[in-house]
Amino acid sequence: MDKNDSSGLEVELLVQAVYARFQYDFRQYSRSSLRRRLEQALMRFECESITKLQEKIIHEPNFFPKLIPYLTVNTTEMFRDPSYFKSLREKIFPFLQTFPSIKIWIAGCSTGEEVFSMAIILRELGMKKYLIYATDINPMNLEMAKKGIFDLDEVRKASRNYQLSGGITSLSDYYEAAYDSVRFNPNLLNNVVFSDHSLATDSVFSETHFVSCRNVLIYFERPLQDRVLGLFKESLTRDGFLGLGTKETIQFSTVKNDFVVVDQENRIYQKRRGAQ
Amino acid sequence: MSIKLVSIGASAGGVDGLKKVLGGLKKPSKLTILVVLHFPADGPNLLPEIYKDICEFDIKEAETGEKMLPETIYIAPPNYHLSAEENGTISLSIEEAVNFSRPSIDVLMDSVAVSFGEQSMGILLTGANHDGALGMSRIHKCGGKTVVQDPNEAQYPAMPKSAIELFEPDMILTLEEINVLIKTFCGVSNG
Repeated sequence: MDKNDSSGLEVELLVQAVYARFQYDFRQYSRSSLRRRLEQALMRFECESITKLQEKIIHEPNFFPKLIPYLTVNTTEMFRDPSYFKSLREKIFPFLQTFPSIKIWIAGCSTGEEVFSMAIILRELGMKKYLIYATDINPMNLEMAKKGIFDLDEVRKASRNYQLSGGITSLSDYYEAAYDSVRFNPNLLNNVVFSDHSLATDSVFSETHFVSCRNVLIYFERPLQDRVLGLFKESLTRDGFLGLGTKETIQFSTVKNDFVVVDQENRIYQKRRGAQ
Repeated sequence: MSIKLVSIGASAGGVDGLKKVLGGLKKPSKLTILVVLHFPADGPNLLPEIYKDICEFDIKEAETGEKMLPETIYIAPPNYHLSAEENGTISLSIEEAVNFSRPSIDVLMDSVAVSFGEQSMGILLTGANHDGALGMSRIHKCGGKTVVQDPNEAQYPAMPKSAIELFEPDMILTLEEINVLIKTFCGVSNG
């Protein structure tokens, strides 16, 4: 029997072990993606099998935090899908300005690229009365996001996206470069609160006017997607907005009738009056 | 063991190659087909339009979370990896490019191998890079069928060649022969 036949089972057992031991719930994350990343972890941690990884998780107390980056997808970039940010700049944020103060939730903020993208847009619009809650399941991501240090090449590539999203100056105005990295201006984070939060297990923590959760749901199985969309619906005030990733949708979820489509192409929805 | 899931990968030269391979497939059938074609990331996915009337199967862009249905061809959207899950659904992902490709044929076939094993088939067509060879070798290891386009016929032979160099595919065929092969696995018993 080929060892590959058992990898599905090994992933299943590992996520059960992680949940039982650490209460991190990856049981409804899309399996093929999880398996691929665990197989990458095999090389990194010199294990011959996913079962050996599980053994380390259970018997080595400091091992699990090192594995967390492999359990979630952290591929992210600034101003990803610039038309989304253009839509925020031109439609959504101007509307939100009618509220006396705005609370934004970036769910699954990873290493912070989206946080800085939004803070830059808000600054360029002259909007000051806002608070961004940036949450992620991995505390190490939050630490990195707080520092605002990114790879120079990656940020240079994002420059074009910034322009396409309607940026009024130059992305380099917001950072200082040194060697291979850049550091974004720390005062962009003046109105940002970082917190760890798991969409699979935690509850709503604040009422918000806009939730942006992009390319996170794509890695969840449908029942978990429903749970998360339910959280967002609960968090949003009347007329609040929800923004998803380009290939994500509320169409097949239990909340589909609680939202109206505001921008189909960019997957931006508005909470329907009378919902919940 | 009957084939339920066919995964096809193609790169440069693939638009025409795929047409020949998918032409004339008939319903009813138990087969589901997943396709990864490398194309420029920023373009819209025109393939469902281009391939609209080439066969009786339904052709659409794959959507994350949807259940794979028979008699349907799902095409990976630009810039997303496409995978098959053990529970019979499709998932998309924006993980790093593999072999400089996203969607990557390796990612597709790797997932197909693990989730469908002996009920899966991998078909690799023309292309200028090596994406797909490793993924298809996993289909082979898991007991599925592996088919490579004859490098002598392929517009760009590098991709089929790299698979042949890595392991022994079950069959090396021309596009027309691949089309006939799929039709064979398509058919529910006649009459």
